Amino acid sequence: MSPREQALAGSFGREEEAGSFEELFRLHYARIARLIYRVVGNQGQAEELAAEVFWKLHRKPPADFDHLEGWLTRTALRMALDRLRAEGRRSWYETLVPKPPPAPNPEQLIEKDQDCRRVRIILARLKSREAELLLLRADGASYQEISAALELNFASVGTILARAQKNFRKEFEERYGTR
Amino acid sequence: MALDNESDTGLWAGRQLEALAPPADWAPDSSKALHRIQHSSTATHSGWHTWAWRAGTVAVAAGVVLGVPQSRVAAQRACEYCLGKVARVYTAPVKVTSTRQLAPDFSLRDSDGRTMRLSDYRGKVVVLDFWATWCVPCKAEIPWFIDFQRNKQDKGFAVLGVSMDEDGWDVVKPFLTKFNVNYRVAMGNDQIAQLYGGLDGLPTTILIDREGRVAGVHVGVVDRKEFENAIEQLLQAPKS
Repeated sequence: MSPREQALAGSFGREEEAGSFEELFRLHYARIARLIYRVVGNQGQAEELAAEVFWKLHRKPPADFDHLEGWLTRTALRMALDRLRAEGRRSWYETLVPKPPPAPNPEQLIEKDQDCRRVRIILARLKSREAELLLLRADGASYQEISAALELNFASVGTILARAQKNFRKEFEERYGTR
Repeated sequence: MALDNESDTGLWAGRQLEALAPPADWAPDSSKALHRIQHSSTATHSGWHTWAWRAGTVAVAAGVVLGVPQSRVAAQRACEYCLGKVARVYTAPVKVTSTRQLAPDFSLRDSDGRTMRLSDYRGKVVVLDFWATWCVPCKAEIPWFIDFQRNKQDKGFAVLGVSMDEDGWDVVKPFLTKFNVNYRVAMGNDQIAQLYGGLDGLPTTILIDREGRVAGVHVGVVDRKEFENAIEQLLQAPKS
């Protein structure tokens, strides 16, 4: 956590320092929303969920302020994965209802959309910890950042990441074949 | 393409996940979101005002309903209908014997490091409870299970807990100590969840008869009395 964030975190939670929450929000909101987008694939939902993460922080701040950035990342990923899984269950029920024909779209767009949906289905099937790790890595997080955000031992991040990638590929290929 | 090596798999996974990246030109609108949060915060602060209005409305409505005989009868019928529906959803009916399927056996490590096998409990009535320390409804049921275990174990009854906590024993063991849990608890995994149909939610509680068959499956909190009745019914059933 940067010195600036430390100062913010230190004062956040006291009523007279209401501005600190706003600063913290402005500092992290976009990053959290973009991270959530990777999971839910919808800008509106990503923004809504990101706001929920901060609302949760505002209502019930974590006891440990030393790892606030990690808390935000972890909470965002968990809430996003929960939403993804809930959507999965809902879409199963929706398959029981006949769908209207899809609107005409460029072929490439449909293919990309299908690729993303497949990746998200597999992420929803993985263990939360593995899905979180893969998403953070894809978002460009370093091993150090991953270890801080997910409260993992730095030395074991590589091993767990490799296992997560292997499981991701195995699940994917079992479901959709090799590509 | 087969699984060649780790770096190959890493690159492959990276390529797939890259497709999820948000559009480069998308800038989440933090001002709008912040305004929404501040609005919610204000709404919460002025919550007493809203609640006063709600309470007043309910009081007036109740006065009207109870004051007019026809509406009182209609309200009574509506209440009975709703309670009947809720009871059907949340009570713990025991399946008739002919429809019971054998509960899948499993082997898991319990909090003492010993192997916990369901098949070891054949001949006993078992409550198999899938739960987690973060699950609030699960915590509501745990004191009942502690009582059941204490009062019914001599009759051939056992509670078996399966924790679905991802953080493992580090969070579960202190919880067991804190709540003086007196029955065996093992650490669950994805395999056992799949074995029992994927677990739609926590708590999921499986009632198992003396022959090791599933006599009832309940997702969410079940009324204690109904639960106890179901267990007694299974305990008193003639042994086959």
